[in-house]
Amino acid sequence: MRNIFIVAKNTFKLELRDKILYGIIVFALLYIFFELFLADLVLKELPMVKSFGLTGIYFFNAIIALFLGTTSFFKDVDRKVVYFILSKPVSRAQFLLGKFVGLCAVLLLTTAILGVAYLGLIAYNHGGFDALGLLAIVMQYLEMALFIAFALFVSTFSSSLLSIVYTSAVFFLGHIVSSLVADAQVIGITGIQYRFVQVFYYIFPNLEKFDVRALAIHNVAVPLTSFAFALTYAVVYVAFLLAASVWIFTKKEI
Amino acid sequence: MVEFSHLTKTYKKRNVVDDFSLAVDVPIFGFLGQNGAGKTTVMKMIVGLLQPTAGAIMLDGKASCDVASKRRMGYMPETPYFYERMTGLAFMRFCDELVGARGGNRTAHYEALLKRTGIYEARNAEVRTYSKGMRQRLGFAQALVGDPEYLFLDEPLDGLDPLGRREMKEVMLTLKKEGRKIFLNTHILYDVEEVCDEMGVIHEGRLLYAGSVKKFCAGKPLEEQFVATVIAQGKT
Amino acid sequence: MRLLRSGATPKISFLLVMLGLVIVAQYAYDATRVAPSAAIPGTSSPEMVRMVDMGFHAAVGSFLWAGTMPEILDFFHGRSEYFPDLAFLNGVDPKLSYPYAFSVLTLPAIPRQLLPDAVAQAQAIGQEGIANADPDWRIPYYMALNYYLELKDLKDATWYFNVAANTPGVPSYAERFALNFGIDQKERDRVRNLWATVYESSNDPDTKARAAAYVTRLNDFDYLEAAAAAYKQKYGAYPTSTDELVAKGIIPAVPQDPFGFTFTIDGRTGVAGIDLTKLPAYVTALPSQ
Repeated sequence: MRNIFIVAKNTFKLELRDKILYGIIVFALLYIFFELFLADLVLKELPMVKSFGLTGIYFFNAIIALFLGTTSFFKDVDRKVVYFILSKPVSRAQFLLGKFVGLCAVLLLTTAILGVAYLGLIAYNHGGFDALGLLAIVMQYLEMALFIAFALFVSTFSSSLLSIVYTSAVFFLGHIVSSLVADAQVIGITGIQYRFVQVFYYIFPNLEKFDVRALAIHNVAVPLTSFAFALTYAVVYVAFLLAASVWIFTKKEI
Repeated sequence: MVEFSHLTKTYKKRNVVDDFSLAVDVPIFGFLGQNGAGKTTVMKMIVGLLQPTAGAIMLDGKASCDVASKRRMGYMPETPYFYERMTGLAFMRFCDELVGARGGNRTAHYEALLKRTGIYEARNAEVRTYSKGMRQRLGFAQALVGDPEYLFLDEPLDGLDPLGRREMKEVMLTLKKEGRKIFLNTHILYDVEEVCDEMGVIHEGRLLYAGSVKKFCAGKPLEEQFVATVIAQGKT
Repeated sequence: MRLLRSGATPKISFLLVMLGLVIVAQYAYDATRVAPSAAIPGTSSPEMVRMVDMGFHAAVGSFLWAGTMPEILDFFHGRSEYFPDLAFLNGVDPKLSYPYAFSVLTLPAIPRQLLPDAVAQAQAIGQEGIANADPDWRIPYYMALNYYLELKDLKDATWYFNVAANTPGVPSYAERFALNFGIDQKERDRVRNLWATVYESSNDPDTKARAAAYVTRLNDFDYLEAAAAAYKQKYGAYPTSTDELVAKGIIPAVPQDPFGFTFTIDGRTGVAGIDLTKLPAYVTALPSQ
């Protein structure tokens, strides 16, 4: 267990020194502050300010998660830095899990920075403390953790470029999977084909459940069960992805 | 003692390491062989980076890639690759923690090791600023960080200038005096003659000879004997 | 934990169990979820529906609004894309209330020659807003102003002022104004009839209660004014406060305003009114914007 923490701490420190990451964070903060001007100019409206804020945080975090998840682990293996690590009493599982925890820690930091900026912005615009917005941000974070786990998973068997493609596909498809199933029913797909669609629906990451932005923006309460489900799904799916990643990585010849 | 029993590694129907059996119990042992003979593959299997297709490697009776065994060894890969943005000192600390160091301030220990391998001056510089020779030295230093009984060094003198090679050989002899056991991979015959107590000749995955260096030479230059052995192997 | 320390590969059976748990979690989530809402009316393309599903429609709508809002100025020069653009962004996110409110407030400012049916359009947009958007007191409030000032429609004005007064988040000044709209002597009868009709025709107990309260209050005004006239006849001048009416025995007690305001009598004219400097507690307790 301690090894996981050691790898995680190291990953966290190293990734934070990455210039690209810094660039993204700076952009994100600039975006938040640009919103201040936008808010003054045209959109003094709280729902509008909130919508830009929450969406912005989501996109920036997604870019960071995509970047970190697809490159961090892959680089370590590709550049053979793992030779030093795996020759020590550290198992491949511990290394992979440590990577995951470290990357989630980086994302926790970026989410916290952007989240605080966002909450400050809302308070400054006389919106008080946006508790629902905070909940939306927390649930977005769960989605990011799932995202990182998926990116790690594909990076155990694909190059960085392919990993980015696969993970981006999950990002887009993950939100519309249930619409696809509904569409299939409407179009009239039945039988074996429909079963196939259903199987795909259940196995593919379903990211809709993490999205409560629309509710938060329009001040509609989010039921506790929604949060409970999102958390459970994230935990279970992440566990699955990490287990699968370890399985692949253990078999890999380095 | 390190024991290899019927160690085999197969890639795409080819035996990269072919039924390798050997027992070693000397202070400094050198694996000698051509590039691609299988030396690095054997060493990777010792430290658990690769899994043997068949056979086993034992360190004092326990599997060499067990946690307990790994705590007793230090490994230096051929062409070491680092996290470029770490400083030498930070890298030492990272490796030390992974071997199992707990708490306390071991900075003095790391600095001593870095002094020993001659890169103390660069300890706070990021690895990306290090030359090839400095990287070799750091690789060597991190192998010592857990105070290991066994050292497995893959081409440790590669990329060092003549003075550097002398320095590191001195270090190895000092380590031998400290009671540690060293295995090294090399294709430089001269180094084997200078520091090794015993040697093994590896060619195309097979162990052609294992034993004392002097006996192998039998009065002739090592190079001559080596080439002869390899060519003779090729004929069979 | 030992499992993690060793180099053991997780068994395939373990992976399948984990995958099974994922499927179970998704299934359970679906079982408790409300059915996804029907397609938003007015959306033009599947891509738009997709974007709706991704939850960014509020941001897209807001972004579109930033571009649409200035288009209202185009009306002063001729044609404008304001209406179709507004309809589109309302389709993307119908719950954004500000575009509706802004339209209701600003459209009537456009000269009749340039846009003859500006007010009708404004009111129609307002209706849509009340139906679809987040509760926003400004929409009915501005609509009421339009009815009163532009269309001289006292009935609808009173109605919508009442809606505004009962919308959550209405600031105290607006609520004050809305509640007390229509108490002026000239309009009192018409407004009273309006509320009487509402009372008769409505089945909703809350609406009935509010209508009854309005009627009661207007009756109270009449009552106080009659008492003031009687006072003048007896004492030669109007009373300066309602307490004097009680003190001099004209009326047994000052009636209680159903909305909690304090009644006043104008000493010069004998007209009943309410004391706007003394606000009932529930009005001052409201957050003002």
